[in-house]
Amino acid sequence: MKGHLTEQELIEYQFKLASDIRMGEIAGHLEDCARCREHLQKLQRKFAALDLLREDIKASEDLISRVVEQAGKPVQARIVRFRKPAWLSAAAAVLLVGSVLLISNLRKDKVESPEILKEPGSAAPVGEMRLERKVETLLTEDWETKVAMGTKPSLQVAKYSEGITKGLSDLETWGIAGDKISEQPPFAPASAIELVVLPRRDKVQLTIYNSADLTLVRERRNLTLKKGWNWLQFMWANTLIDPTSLSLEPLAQADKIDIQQLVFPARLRELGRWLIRSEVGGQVPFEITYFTSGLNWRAFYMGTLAEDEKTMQLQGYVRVGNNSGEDYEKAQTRLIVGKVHILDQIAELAKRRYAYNRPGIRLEDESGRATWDMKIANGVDIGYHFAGFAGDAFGELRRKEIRKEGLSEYFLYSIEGTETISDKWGKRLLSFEAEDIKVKSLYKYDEERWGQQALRFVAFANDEEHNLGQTPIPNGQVKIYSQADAEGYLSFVGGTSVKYIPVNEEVELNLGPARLVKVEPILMDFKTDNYVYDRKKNISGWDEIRTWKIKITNTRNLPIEIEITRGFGTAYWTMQANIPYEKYDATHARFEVNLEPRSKDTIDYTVTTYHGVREESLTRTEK
Amino acid sequence: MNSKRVKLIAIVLLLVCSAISQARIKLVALPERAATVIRLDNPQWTLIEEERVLTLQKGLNKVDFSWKGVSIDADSIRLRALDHSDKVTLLSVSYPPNEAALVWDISSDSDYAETVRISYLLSNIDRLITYKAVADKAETMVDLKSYLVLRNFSGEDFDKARVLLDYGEAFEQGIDHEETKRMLFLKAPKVPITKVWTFDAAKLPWDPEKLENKNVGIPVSYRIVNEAKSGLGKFALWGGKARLFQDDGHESTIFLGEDVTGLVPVGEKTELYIGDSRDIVVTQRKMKDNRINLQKNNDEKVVLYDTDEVITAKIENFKDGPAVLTMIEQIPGQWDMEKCTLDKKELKLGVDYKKKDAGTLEFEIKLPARTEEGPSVKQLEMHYHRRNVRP
Amino acid sequence: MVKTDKSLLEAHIKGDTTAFAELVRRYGDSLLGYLTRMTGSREQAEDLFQETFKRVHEKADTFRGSRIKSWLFAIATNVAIDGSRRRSRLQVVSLNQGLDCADGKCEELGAVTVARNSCDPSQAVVRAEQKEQVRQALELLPTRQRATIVLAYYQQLSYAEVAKVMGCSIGTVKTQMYRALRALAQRLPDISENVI
Repeated sequence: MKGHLTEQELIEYQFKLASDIRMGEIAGHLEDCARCREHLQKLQRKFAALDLLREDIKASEDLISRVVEQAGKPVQARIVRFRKPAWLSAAAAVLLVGSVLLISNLRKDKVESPEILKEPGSAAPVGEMRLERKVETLLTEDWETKVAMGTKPSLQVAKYSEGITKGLSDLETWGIAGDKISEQPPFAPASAIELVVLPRRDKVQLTIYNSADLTLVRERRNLTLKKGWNWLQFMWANTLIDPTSLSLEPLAQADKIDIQQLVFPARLRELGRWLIRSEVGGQVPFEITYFTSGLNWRAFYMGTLAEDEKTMQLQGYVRVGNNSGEDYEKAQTRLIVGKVHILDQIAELAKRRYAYNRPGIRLEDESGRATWDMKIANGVDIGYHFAGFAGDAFGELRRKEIRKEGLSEYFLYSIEGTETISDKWGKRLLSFEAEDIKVKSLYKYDEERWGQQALRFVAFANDEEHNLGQTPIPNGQVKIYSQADAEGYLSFVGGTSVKYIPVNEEVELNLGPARLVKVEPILMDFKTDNYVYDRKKNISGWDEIRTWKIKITNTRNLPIEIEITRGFGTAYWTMQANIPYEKYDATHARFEVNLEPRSKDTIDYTVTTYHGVREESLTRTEK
Repeated sequence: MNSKRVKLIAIVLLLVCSAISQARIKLVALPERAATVIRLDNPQWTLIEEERVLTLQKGLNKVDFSWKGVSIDADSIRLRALDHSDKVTLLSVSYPPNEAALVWDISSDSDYAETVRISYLLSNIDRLITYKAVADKAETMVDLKSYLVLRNFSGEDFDKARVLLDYGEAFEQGIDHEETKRMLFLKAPKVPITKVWTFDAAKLPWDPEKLENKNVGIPVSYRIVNEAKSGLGKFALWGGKARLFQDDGHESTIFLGEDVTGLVPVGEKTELYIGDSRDIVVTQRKMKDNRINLQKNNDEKVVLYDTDEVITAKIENFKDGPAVLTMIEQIPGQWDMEKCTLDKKELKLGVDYKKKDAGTLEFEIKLPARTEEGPSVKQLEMHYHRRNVRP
Repeated sequence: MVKTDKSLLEAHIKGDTTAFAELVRRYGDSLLGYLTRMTGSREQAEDLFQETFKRVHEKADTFRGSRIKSWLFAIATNVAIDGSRRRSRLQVVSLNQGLDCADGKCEELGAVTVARNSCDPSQAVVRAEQKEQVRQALELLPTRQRATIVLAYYQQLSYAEVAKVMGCSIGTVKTQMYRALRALAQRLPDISENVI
């Protein structure tokens, strides 16, 4: 064995992952090699940290009896928490913690040393009556919907209420000497760290941006504070949440609650702690706001032309996708149209090792962040109100409304009620429906732009006259159909994509080449004339006279309007035509022709272009 | 990939438990398609509209629609209740992860066996048109048949559907995935044709003598006009490949050739090129090509001039029968005809020959059949000037 | 007489009410320890614990074998994997409360009583932080790797037993173990400063 042992080999040796023969070889090498022995010892010391978690864990009698009791029942009793919706178990958890903490506040005894909560069941209940009632109200409040569904609160709930009543007596507060709050905040959270997972969310609001992978999430949670200094810890591992965007606001007693600082501790990853100074104790509703990535939406449209193609019905849809890794249940959903300027991708921020990076790495993003935060926050906070949520009530099975309003440079679509979008699922919602939109069905021919084919257009405007105009139309794909017959069957005409259309702007949808309308321009005659010579008798100017015949064929059963644009390559031209024309720009003329169904028509025109010094003659005559 | 059926599975749930549970429960009963319409008027996407009868219960219903293996545009899928459209509402559409499927949440105010119409766009299903024309021996008329070829590579099987094109009658057909069906669509017997020989001076060699022992073939086409007189004229004829045969007089046919025709609107003509004729020979030469009216600059360089040109074309018909030769001559730029004659007889523009466009002339020259002495001969002469030409 | 696992299970199927309790007692602590280290939360572990024995009860008649330890841990592993998919992501925790300890002895992971180690409170804090780091390090492992290392290192199952529990080969177990250890090596705190 030449050289030294690799870390892999040492790990395999230490944990007996290698084959017997290999183990022997490594042992042999270690005998002779001090350096490798030292390396191994270092490794062993490192892994010794694992033993910190080696305490014996005992199952309590209470737990055992619950389990046994459950086995005594017939098999169909379903108590599995994670099959139920998250809020159910979350509500149960909140009960436990909420009432536990509530009790602690009710009992403001002075204590010298923090006494640890004893295991439920081991002490005499104190103040039980009062607390039980409290517990029960909590139970019924949150669970009335569940009862409405016809299911009973499960065994799970019963367990909690039991546990609560039994354990209430033993709760003690710690760290508080009477009612006075110490001026100095604790340097670090006190040693007793109990990880109790609070309910996921009480109420959630999602604001999803379509122009960037960015969603603003607002959650309401009831957190229990004690009077004095509170530490609140949050962890965002395995999420796509940007930790630097997290903000916490109390919704009640704001004057008595002060959020002092946010600490991202040194060696702990994906974890942050708020230090809160509170003059009140008890349950306080808080609002937690943050950015996450993984949610997206896009708009698309389906239009149906009437048989005469003079009006159209338009339906706008939004498709919301959820790839955030989270299930969002009963979230009030809002969609934002508009180009938002962000400096970093949220998904990248979520994965950072240090929430704000370190000094020496990309200084500019640190200074830039403050303004960005404010910019976004301002844009969305205007007009924001945490309105009561339209309950996703069982009884109301009607289609949701989408409310639209403009905010700053953005447009906000609020979907009525709440939506449940599970992870990896998508949802399509109707965002608007407008009938009888007056449209102009138009054909266009412009060789310079589209070659030798006529294109079909459908034109309208996003305004009241056209039965629209209430909201801008976000960009998306459009597909146009037409009524094929009286039975309501449709025919697919064509599709295109449409850009963002502000209110009152005109829209022209290009549906592609027209198969049933033909335009054929033929140069019938070509002449030159009026040659001008310079002093050297070289040609310095001349006219070109072209006679064109444009044959238009309409094989459709409907009358059509077609716009034909002709370019002359020069700004110096005059024209005689058998029909009126418009000088579209300096070098182009445009004809508008209407044709009856199944008919043909011809445009004849002669255009004279002036070249060289003959150009002057044109300007001279025009003056 | 094997074809899969588009499944429509109706799920009926009484209470809102479905709103909470994540599991998508599938039911056994599979309502069959009541009526399907396949509309093939768009080359890119084919619109399918199918009707099914869903058993809806009062309250919220979840209906599962999946399309594994079918090239469908998911955004285009739409559902419409037909019987009780005001009482049955589509609440939302959800897309489960990693599945070619969607789930409709439908609310109904009562129990119904509701007919719904589901429409969506499929790709890789389209139609082609092909033609078969059998000419009589004299080549004066053809028996024209038009075939519709349906190609279905969409991934979906259709047992029986009403197929609609942009025109013509709808017809009932079934077509499975990866199946191609050809059916007779149009039958027009005795469509008069004109046999057309075309000599395009811009495309064909002028002097056969210069070709070493090779013939110059004059392209021959059958001209058909899409009008009522021909037994057609009801709708535009779609472009497609046409195969032409001729009755050989011995109870059989010979294959003349094939060509592709473009769209022929009503009233327009199409020409199907079958091959080349070596029995008509054109010899064209430029007999005169002079510069006249020279305009010089101070350095005695010519800056502008006119031309004096003469082109003669000798046309010989070696066939037993008469023929009409279309001659296409090109003259570039600005020009005017001094004199144009056929066998020394003057031809008038607009009467005896046409100006197709500024630089193209078209002559229709009637050639009698050959005689015992030899081919019939005609001589065309064009004397013209090109004006204002720059060196 | 010590009854075998299998006989206890059979007795339970037949209706013996004490047999199940005996089984639970026999494996309860070890199973709870496993689940607690898998989830990082005592509370969640207790829920998964209940679910595990519920499934044991439901599938009792399908068990073939003599020692149910691997079977039990296999069920517990599946329960833990299912549970981890549904767990809360953004976890907000209040650090105010006292601990869930019995007889003054703290059972929760990472719990240290300041009063107990009264000599040097700051050491206790450091210790608590280090525990937190270890727990986090475990939490960040993919579920299967975490299960492997908890079973092998903490529950002290042999690699062969772990293979039975996870339903894979011993080779796979060793690979998962190695990967878990390598990942941990980067995240574990250095506890070489001895705290006495």
